[in-house]
Amino acid sequence: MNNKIKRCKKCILPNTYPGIDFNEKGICNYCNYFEASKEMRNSLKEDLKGQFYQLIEETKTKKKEYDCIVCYSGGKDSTFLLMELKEKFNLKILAFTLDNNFLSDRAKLNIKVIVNKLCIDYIIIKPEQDIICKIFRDVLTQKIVYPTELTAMLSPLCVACQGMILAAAFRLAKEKDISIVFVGFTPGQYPDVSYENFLKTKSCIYFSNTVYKDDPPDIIKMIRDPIDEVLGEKAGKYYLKSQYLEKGESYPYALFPFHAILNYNEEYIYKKIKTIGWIKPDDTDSCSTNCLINSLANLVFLKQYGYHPYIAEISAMVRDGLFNKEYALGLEKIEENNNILKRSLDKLQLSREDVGI
Amino acid sequence: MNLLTYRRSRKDAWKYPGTPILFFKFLFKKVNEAAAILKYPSLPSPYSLVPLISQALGLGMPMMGSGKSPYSMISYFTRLNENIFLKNNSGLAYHQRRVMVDEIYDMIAPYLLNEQEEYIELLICARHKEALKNFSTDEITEFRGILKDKFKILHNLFLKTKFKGGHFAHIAHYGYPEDLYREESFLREFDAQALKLWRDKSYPIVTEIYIDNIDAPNKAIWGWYIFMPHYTKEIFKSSKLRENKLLQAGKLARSLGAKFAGMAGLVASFSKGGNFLAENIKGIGFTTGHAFTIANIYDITKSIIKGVSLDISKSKVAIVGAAGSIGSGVSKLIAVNNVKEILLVDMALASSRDKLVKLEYVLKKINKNIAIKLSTTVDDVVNYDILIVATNAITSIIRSRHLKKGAIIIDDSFPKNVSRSIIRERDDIILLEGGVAQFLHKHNVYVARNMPDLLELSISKLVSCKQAYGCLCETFILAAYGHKGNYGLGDADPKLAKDIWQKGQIVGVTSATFQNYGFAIEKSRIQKVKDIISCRS
Repeated sequence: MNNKIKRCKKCILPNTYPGIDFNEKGICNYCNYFEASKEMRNSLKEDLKGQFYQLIEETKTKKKEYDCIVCYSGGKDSTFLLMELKEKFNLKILAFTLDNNFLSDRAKLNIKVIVNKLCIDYIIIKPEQDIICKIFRDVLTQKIVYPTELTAMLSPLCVACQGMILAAAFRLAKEKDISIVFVGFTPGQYPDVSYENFLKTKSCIYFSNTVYKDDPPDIIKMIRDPIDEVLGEKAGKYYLKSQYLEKGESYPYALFPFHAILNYNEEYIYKKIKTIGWIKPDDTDSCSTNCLINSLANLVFLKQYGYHPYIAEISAMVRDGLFNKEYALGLEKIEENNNILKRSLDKLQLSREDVGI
Repeated sequence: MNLLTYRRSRKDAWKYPGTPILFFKFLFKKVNEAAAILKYPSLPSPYSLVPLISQALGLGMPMMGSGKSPYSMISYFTRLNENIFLKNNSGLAYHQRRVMVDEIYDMIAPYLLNEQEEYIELLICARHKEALKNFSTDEITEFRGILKDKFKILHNLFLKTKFKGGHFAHIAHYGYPEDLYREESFLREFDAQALKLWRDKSYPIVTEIYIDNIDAPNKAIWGWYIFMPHYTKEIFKSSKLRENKLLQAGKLARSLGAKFAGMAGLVASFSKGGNFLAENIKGIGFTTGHAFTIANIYDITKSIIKGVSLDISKSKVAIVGAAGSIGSGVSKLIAVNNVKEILLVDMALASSRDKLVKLEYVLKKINKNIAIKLSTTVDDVVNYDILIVATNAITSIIRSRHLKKGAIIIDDSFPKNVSRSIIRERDDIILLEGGVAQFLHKHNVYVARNMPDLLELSISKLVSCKQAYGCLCETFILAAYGHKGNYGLGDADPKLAKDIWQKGQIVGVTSATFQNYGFAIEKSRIQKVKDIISCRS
């Protein structure tokens, strides 16, 4: 990272981040807003907590084959989530992984070990690999471009991948008549918006068949539109269409437990999941414990946009007191010349020049 | 008395529909305080304030990265403090807050049109008819008084905030009943009488938009999408409704401070090429959007001809809807090239026939070498290489049987004149969307409220893909150039098409990639048509 970058003294957000402004004390407008809206946010969180528990209890009384789907990447957060939902809440879980063609071998092994150990049914879905690779290629080479609303939170490659994962999870849940999809987003991923969505619709992802003037941006559509526009229906079919539902259309509730009912403590998470045989992969970067293409996506994004794609999440964790600044800065480091990077490029049939690194 | 004690002491606070007046007063007191801290920021219109009011209520929470958006509280947060937020003890449940925001939003159009009294009566007689059915005359009078007080509260704030107006408005209408019923879901519960009253008297639905980072005289532009609250068929049916609602939308555009208004969907057609609006509403200009649209269709036509290696001098082009503004405009642009033949098609009406004859004469003057044929039936297009379709027909009129192998169809109609199923039935033709244009990705687009994609105004696609239909592009380009007054009225003018296209090139607005129904056209399809054409020659 460039040493000349100015950072918020509180949350480490850099001056290259979209819409940032600093006050005379060197504190950014995001921190000021966070501080000022703290009380309101805390009350939202409290409401969220109560209703979360209620929804989980309601689901359990339905006595279906499965109470929920857990999007399970094999990474640390979703492994911990799986454990907690099984052990603390005694839910009947169907774990689900979308194989994006870049899952670390260790992550695959972790998945096997953990679902066996926890006696959880498991499904892996593998979309057409050439289509995934095409999507990844086009986002890395900026044929598919996402707007600031999305790139302020994560890299376009992660946007495209997460959109596909969520769509597959929702469709699987519908097919199997499962009413909740759990996602292991950290408290720094989509905070506020997810609380609000939940309080409006009982789902952290917004779906509605009526329109209010305070509706959130249609993120679902914003993820899909650029893919349709560049790659056509073949790729678009892997995504959901819109947050606005058509007649007769419905989706299960999406819940992010780290936003309400599970405390997020990274040290504790690592400790806990090790007890059931989870081993940290040595082939992923500092921001991922399951995905091999993450390094490449992060590096390319940094060059293209001038800030780290995880910085919004990391800074939110710093503001929340979940990370200290030094640790957070460490998470930003990207290894520029490793084999994983090369292998990812080779798999996508791209050169370093193609992606500008 | 604070809100909590008020809530306890007044159990009947929610007696009347809408938000109790004390909550209203309380909220606006806070908004006034915040606005005062910000020294009453210079915003374009009351619609700019609503997202900020929502956020103070804990709704529409701003997203990370939104620090530059005029609609995000984060933009103002070097100066504001926690006092502007409505705290937990406000007593307003989530859905009540949403109702409140909607209520404020809906009051703005009648306020700007100075029709508060009419709006109040509309609420009493239609919107809240059912809820008020057991109320006495005195109670209804009291309710009327409450609504008047709400307008006064709104007025006091708006008076202090000196709204600066904007650059443009864009008038549209809803496409289908389900679109309108999704926006105004309360209509589902109306009886026939209330529905009729609402239909006749309701007010436009508006969202404000801000675009910056533009390379043009205006680096940033403000404007409003103004939706007539009716769907296509409804407007088609009644000329009286059509005229009233066009005038209402045009007047609202003027009240908001737009310098001119563009037109989407069938607004240009409904307003007789914009002339009805221009003649009846002074102090604001109008433009149909057709100049950019025909330039864009022409550009797409040239690109696809090149893409499939079609020899233009051997090509036969059919223009369906040729007597219309877009059809005639495109014909004139195409006639400049030495195409083999142009077929001008328009359906049946005698007036269309006259128009076609006149158009034939004009085209002959542009290029005497082209064979021109006239037709009043779409069945005559079967042997044509390129079909450009731009009619007002409300159903699909082009069928698979009308298309020869290797045909290229550019459909600029709304509703679409070529059925989507044709794409699945026939892999030997290319069906393209007419008029989709591409902005630059560096153009930042901010909208005051999200709306589902409607008709030709695909708002999320504008934000995400930076794409819009030609009519909207014309509006944006003119706004970026600081245009005032009328621009393109009546039939699309090729000279204006040239002018707006050149300006668009400078701003960075060009044709989008080949697509239809939002999907990219597969390379394999283009190759297949290319092969067919190559075998043909």
